[in-house]
Amino acid sequence: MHKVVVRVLLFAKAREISGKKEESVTVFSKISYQELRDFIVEYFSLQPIKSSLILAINEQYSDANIPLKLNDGDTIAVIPPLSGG
Amino acid sequence: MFDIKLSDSALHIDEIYRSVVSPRCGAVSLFVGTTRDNFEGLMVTKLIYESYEKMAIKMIRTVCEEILEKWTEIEHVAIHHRLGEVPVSEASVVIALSSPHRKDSLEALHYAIDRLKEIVPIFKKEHYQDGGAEWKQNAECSWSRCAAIPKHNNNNF
Repeated sequence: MHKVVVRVLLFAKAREISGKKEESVTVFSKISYQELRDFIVEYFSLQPIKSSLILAINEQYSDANIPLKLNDGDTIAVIPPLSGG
Repeated sequence: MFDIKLSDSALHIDEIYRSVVSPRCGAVSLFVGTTRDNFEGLMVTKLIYESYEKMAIKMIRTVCEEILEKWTEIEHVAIHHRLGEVPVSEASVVIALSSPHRKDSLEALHYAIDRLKEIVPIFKKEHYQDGGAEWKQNAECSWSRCAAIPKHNNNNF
């Protein structure tokens, strides 16, 4: 299975819980949204907010129903509930 | 046509108004979101906003594009959001739209603020007088615990 290095960005409560703003991680290139989310939750200890976060890939909200194909250098953002306005 | 800005300093409502006003338009509609000093009986002492800036700019642009598709008479759209610490009673967001007639800009204004709260990655933390602090969640955001429509449905993007 092909692996790639992606950049993970963490915001708001995700940043506070993990103590990290960003980090590069190695993941499988072909992966489901759920597998990627579970890996990131585990890696960054985000279990307390697992049910209320969403992933954005290269500044686009990811569709949970379509299998992902990640490339080296892709940016994955962990987005907790929005509270702008 | 679009005036989009994330700002670390105070928003200037007059400047935003001037960026949308047009001789073709008989209406400018303006929304100003301001910070409140209370939440469920707690006194709020400080509010801090942060954003995923690159994506926030893209998503605000998406909101602007959607508005022009839905209300074809809209002439200009300006959306400015403040980041960092925003003192109580100051503007955190200003939205201005111009259109030849008021109906379009008034309707589009309501859509603009609701859609911003739904899809633009900006986050607010409230700090309370009792020492506590909490990240807020918009009811419009579909993955909030308090989502108005409890679902995890990304089809809205």
